[in-house]
Amino acid sequence: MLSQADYEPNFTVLNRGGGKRAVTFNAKMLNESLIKAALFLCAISSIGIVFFIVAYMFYIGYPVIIQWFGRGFGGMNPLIYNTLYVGIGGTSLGAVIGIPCAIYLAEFADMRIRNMIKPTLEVLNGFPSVVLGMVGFALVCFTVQRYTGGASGTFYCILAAWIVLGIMSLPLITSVSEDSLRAVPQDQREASLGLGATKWQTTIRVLIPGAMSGILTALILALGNAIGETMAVLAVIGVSSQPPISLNPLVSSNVITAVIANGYEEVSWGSLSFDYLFAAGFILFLMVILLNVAARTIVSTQNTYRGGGSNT
Amino acid sequence: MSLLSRATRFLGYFKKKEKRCLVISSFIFISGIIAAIPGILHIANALSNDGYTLVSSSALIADFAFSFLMLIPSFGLFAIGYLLLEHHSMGWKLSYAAGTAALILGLLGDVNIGFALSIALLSLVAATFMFQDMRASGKAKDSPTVTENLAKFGIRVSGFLCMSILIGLLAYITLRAAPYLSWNFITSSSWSWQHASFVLNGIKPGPMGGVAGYAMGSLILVFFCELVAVPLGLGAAIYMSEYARQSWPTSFIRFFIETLAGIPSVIIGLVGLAIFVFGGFKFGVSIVGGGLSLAFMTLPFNIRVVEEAIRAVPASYREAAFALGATKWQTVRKAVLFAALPGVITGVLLGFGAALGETIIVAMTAGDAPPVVNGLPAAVTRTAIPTLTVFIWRAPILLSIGAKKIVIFNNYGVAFAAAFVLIAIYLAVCVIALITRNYLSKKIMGV
Repeated sequence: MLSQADYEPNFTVLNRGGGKRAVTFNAKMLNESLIKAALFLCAISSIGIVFFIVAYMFYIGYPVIIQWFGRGFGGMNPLIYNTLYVGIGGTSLGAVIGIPCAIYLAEFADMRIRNMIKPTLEVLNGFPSVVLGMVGFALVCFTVQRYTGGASGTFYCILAAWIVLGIMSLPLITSVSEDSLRAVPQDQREASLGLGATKWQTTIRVLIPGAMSGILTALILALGNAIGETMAVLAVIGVSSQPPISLNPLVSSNVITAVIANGYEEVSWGSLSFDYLFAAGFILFLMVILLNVAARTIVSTQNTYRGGGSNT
Repeated sequence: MSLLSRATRFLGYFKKKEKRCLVISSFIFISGIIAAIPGILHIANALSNDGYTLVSSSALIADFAFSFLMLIPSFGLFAIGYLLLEHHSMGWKLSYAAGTAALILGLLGDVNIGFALSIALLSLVAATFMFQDMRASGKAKDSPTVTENLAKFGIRVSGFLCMSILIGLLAYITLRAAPYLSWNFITSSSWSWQHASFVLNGIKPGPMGGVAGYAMGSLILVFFCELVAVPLGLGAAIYMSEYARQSWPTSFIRFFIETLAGIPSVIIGLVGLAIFVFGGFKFGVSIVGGGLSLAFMTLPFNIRVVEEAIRAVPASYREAAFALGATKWQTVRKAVLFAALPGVITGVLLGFGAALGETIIVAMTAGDAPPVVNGLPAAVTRTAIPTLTVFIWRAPILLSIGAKKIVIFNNYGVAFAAAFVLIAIYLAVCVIALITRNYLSKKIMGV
């Protein structure tokens, strides 16, 4: 791996005078610090990008947002409600399959089955959302339409969005929950088994409480992703301009991402309508960032707790 | 050997109760599937005919009548099977019950519910067979109580459900795409929406044209995006894993990387539209504008996977390189990055696949589906680039413009055919990524 040339100093101007002087700075060190600076720039590019995105959205959107606040947020309420309703439903559906799957992968599956299921999840993770949305439209929307007899007037329904988002959140929920289940210390398992508990009892009474914060983090991150998901939801949710505030999952609705995706080419660049899209995007961003911060808080709380508890 | 001795030996096989149950249950399972062949044909008929148009009430009643006729043998089989399986494990019983239920509901004449249930059936059968296999080899055993067995069976099924969902999705897309796939559709790079819609409506003869131009557009766009995102992500990941100390600036940077990963793609598209396309750089909808916006989405993913790969390199590699007198950068470049190479390649390829499937950013910043596509666009700025995902999104709408009547089913068929091509490329990328990890990590780490 390392060739002979790398061991020799490549540039030794300062050392030439008999070696009496102390080496303070040479070209190699300059090279190293330049590289470190370049890597640092790469690392902080994310800060720049995020800062720019937020600042730009706020700059364009804030007159509209202030206007909305002035009117008691009336126009935005149904959209925010439906965004959360669709996101929470989809995440719950993903959790119903994902968390048992994580328990199975972490505790019960042997290596062979794990090696079969894990790559599947990795493939499912990047599955094109536009295709998933289309399958959701073809599978769920038409079925609902058939059995409700077109009561909602359109093919679109919230239930289809739940199912599609459930499938999309499956890989994230499974992998994060599995990691947190594996992070439960081995001695806790052994203590429980040593007290005569069966493996199942150990799982539900020791492992799941121990990994609870990790599982919660997974759910919150999945909720953030579900709220921000565009194409899959857009294909099945519908285009109603006045989305209903109801618990009925068989009606057509609308979410913030779908509003932006449907609206961007119907409004002209620089018009007030375009500012509305930015304002809606900013509110969506706030919702997602709040969820991310919540997830991070849970993780850090867990770390403190673990740090205190591991001394026993 | 006489017939009698053969029969005696065959009966002797049934002496062991366990084996007898196994044979009987498999027999019933197979005959259940055979009994379902009319139902499967029914489903296939509905799939190939017109799964989309709403059925009239009389057709619905006919469907139900057909299904109820089929229910009788199904329930009979189920009852016999359940009685015979009395002494056998819970898994077999459940798998049999679910199999029968799936068939019954599939036979109810609804393609989609039947399809969803066959996904469930697939996972149930897989879970059961795997468990039988494991129990035979002594790796797993039943718990003392029924509840625990049920619960364990439940989580096993949900584990296999993940797999069945993927298989089911692929099967569904293939089934829907099959009538519209042809060699010309995959390889030809000329496409016109109006011509395609005329061909679909039977107004014009001849091949529809193909999506190769769209596929190439997608690949080039994502390649350009990775050209920006990979060096940036690699640098950031090296800094975060090798150079950064545990301090608040580091966690600050990490917070922003995670925030960028969480920003919804529609917002990235909107801001990309503002920075690169209309305002700011004024690239127009193009490869450059789309690729740069897409890089915003891919960057945090690249950082995460590369960092994971680098952190997985054992500390002894670094220590060995330092002990040989290498500087920090030499250590990172020649020892750490080399050992992390399989993970890096796999992660970047998975990110490539995910970026291939991205739609809304591409539609906003790289252009909507052009009316006519003939090969690739000549310019990298101010020219809309055709991409497969936007094709899939727009096909049902654009194919119904200029046609005499809206033929939803045909339009979705073409969209599914394009989805099939996209999924094929995506799966190829994924398989290469996973094989690379398995092969190269063996080769480099020597284990």
